[in-house]
Amino acid sequence: MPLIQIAGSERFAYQPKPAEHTRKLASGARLHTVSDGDIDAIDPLTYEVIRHRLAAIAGEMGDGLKRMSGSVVVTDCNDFGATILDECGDSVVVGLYNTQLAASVDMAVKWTLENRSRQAGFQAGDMFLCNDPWVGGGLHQNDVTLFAPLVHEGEVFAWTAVVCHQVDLGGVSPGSWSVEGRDVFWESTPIPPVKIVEAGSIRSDIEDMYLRRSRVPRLIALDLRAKIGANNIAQERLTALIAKYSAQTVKAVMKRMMNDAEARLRAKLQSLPDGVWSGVAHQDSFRHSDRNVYKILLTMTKSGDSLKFDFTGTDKETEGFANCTFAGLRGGIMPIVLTMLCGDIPWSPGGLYRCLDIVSEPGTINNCNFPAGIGKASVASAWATQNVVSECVAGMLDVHPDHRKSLMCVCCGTWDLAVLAGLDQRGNPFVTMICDSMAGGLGARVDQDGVDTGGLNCIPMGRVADVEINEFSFPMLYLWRREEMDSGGPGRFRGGMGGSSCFIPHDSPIGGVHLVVSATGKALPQATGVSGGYPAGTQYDVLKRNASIAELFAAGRIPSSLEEVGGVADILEAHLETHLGERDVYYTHWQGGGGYGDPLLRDPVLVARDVGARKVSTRAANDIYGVLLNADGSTDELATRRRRTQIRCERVGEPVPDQAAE
Amino acid sequence: MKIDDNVRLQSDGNIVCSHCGHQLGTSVGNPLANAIRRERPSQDAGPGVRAPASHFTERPIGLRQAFCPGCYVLLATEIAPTDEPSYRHWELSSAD
Repeated sequence: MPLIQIAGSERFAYQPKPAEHTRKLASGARLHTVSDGDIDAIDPLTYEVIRHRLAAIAGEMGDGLKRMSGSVVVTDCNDFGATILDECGDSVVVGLYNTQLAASVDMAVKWTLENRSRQAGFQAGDMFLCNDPWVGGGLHQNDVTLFAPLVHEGEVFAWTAVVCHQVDLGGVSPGSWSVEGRDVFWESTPIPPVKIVEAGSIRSDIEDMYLRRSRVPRLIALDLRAKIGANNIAQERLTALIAKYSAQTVKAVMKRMMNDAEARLRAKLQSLPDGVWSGVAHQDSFRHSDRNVYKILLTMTKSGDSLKFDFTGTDKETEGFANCTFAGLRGGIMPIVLTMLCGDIPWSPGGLYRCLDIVSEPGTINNCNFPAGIGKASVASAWATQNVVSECVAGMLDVHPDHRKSLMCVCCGTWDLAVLAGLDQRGNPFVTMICDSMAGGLGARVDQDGVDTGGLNCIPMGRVADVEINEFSFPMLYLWRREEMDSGGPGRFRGGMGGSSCFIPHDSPIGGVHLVVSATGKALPQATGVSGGYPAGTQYDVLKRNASIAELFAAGRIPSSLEEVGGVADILEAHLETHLGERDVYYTHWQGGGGYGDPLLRDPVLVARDVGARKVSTRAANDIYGVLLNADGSTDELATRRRRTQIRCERVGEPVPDQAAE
Repeated sequence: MKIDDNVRLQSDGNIVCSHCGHQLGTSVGNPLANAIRRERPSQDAGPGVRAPASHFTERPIGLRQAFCPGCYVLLATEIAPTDEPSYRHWELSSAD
């Protein structure tokens, strides 16, 4: 059935509004506020003390969540976000975890202020749950946000919020990644904000409604309590802060943090020349068996002290599960603003958003209408948005003698999804997302290589679970997890390497496991380079059926290549759901970071070092970098000079000069 | 003004190669007008491009590059569907 916008869904298609509008629309709620005079009156010492305390509280929320959660995705991989917002839902501080998530929570709080202030109302001890990406709070349904008003003397003083990836909330496929889905009705049904905690007690009717949809309700229930706990930590700490400094003072600091962030970003933008940078992000395939390529276009205009992100020309929303809502589009912008433009500016998105103007047509793949499929939104069209924003911001920064040092080429072009489901080695049902691609390659900089398997710029604190943790928790056995040669984009400065994992199902009482695979970037790489730098390598996933692992183990050998594994190879399409049998092997190879500058300008000594460290192959050294090596691995300087001259001429179809006389 | 690793904007408004000084363009609105442009199969980008694009899509995918006409330094690289134009551009508002 074609995508036809659902009548009545407009109510949930939220666009965040400035504080003064939110205050008017939330007329049923009493909102605490302070005057401009109160903000100006804060002395610098008090400001710094409270500002850092707020950042520490956001950090404590994350720590608390990790201690209480039972999900490896949270406890070991840090796929969550924590935020403190003011009374109008503007984000004052975000933690160093998943900034995609934290940067979109404001939408959910603002929607709730506008739509829930009279009923269900805001009382001390209340908490709201939301996983509706049209409303905000998260980028796809797995991002379940729990946010709470901090009520002080009868007024909503602030909001605290945590959001983390839940491993399964129903839908056709395990992990809620419905690879054959055509629209949102194949997926987990989004939940608009509902009061799930009332006056400090969980409402069992709402909790049952929430958990009933999941394949792992006990784990989801535990994570719900972890999020309640994290909010409680924040509320206790904020209450203590108010008791010590007064509500007026704490609120004045919160407002000034956002004002300062805005002023400092505007000053930085003002120091850059005005101009326009345009880019594109491609995604190959939106669902199983789809062989099309989709584009997100961006025209970024820097004018004076503001930035306009105009996505006009982006492809129309498409059947599949890879569209994203407006929250996803915003979630694609803010992580790059934070990491590239605000390394020296407080991370207060509520102030930073005031410098940004977004133009986007509803009904496109990164601003889709209901019921377009969005189950993969966070790591599909939101991530692709992030890629093109990254490319354009990098181009803008490159023109400034100082700020250019903050640019980074596009990092790991997409998330490499592998969901495993079935019975674990203890006989319990399980579903999990393997987060190994959290070790993506970072993009190159103007003066250094990207960090190999350094992470993702949208999750500064992201990490991979130890191989042993995954093997302990799930019925799987790794053959290897390693950095992959040639996966970093070639350039004068090389993009960071991506990696690969290769594993087999192991010790499940039902034999194999169910496998859901989803990763684009196979037809074309998604981590682009800058200033002539090459993109990173492509995503590459291979399933080997009827492999010889048992025989190899019996012979005392651990295979280290796909050839050694044996069996029949199937190079997987972007999205697939299948069974991984006892004799099957799954290999997944995620992308690195883009390169910076012409690879022929790279110091040959660095290329030789990379070849020695197996970061670059001799073939790439010869073909792309034009570097030839001696038998001892050192650079053959004369041969390299000749080879580079040859490549330069061949590039443009010019005859290669006779170099024999050299 | 240095634009990136390879391109410089002169005070007279000309855009030149940082390495050889060759004029790449005369307008901030079309800075690489004189660049040499070439298109090749995407797997020419090196062994990092693992499987052929045709395994995943019928769309033609290619490696597009732009070079300085003077010293042949690589100015821009992209792997993109070749049945659509390049959408990667930059344009400064003035030479200030």
